[in-house]
Amino acid sequence: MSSLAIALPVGTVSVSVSVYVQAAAGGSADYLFDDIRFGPSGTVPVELQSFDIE
Amino acid sequence: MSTLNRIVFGAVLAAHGLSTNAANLLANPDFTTDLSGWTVTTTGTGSVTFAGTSGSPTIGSIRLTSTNGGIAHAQQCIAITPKNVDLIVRRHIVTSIPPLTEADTNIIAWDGSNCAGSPLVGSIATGAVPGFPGFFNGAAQT
Repeated sequence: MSSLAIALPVGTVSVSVSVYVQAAAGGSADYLFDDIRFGPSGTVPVELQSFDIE
Repeated sequence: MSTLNRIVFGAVLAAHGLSTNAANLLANPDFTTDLSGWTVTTTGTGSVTFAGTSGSPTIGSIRLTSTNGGIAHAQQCIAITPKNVDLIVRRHIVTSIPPLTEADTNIIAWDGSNCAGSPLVGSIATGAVPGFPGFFNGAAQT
């Protein structure tokens, strides 16, 4: 998982969020994306994947 | 941990998940059953498909493939006022044979509604991608 914090510039009316893959000539790419979270800072969760308390 | 504590702890986690997920502005962020809500564009050998047998933390994800310059791209447009925002994504590399032009998640801020008008690139400085002005690389992804 990775995250990116962004300050939207003044004048922003809309935002496009995208996933993008492009291999150059001679290259090859096969990528999976999932669990994409975009929202106001501090409200987008880093979700718990496993948790065990004894 | 007692059974009661487990129940209480689980309830807290569940409530936390419900409240925080509500802050996500994206539709269908988990690709649970399809790619609904996402606008797909491809060129050349690029392809974008629903991966129904892979995903994290649950099954269902979006698969982007490319060879020899083909573009695979899926996008959502969101109405929003200027503020600080976070973007988090899970990415899994099935195959990656260089050279690659790009393989990541991007954000563009627009001065018009419906992601029209001019891209506002001034204050988002994580590296523009050649050939796609206004796109921005996220942090290093795994």
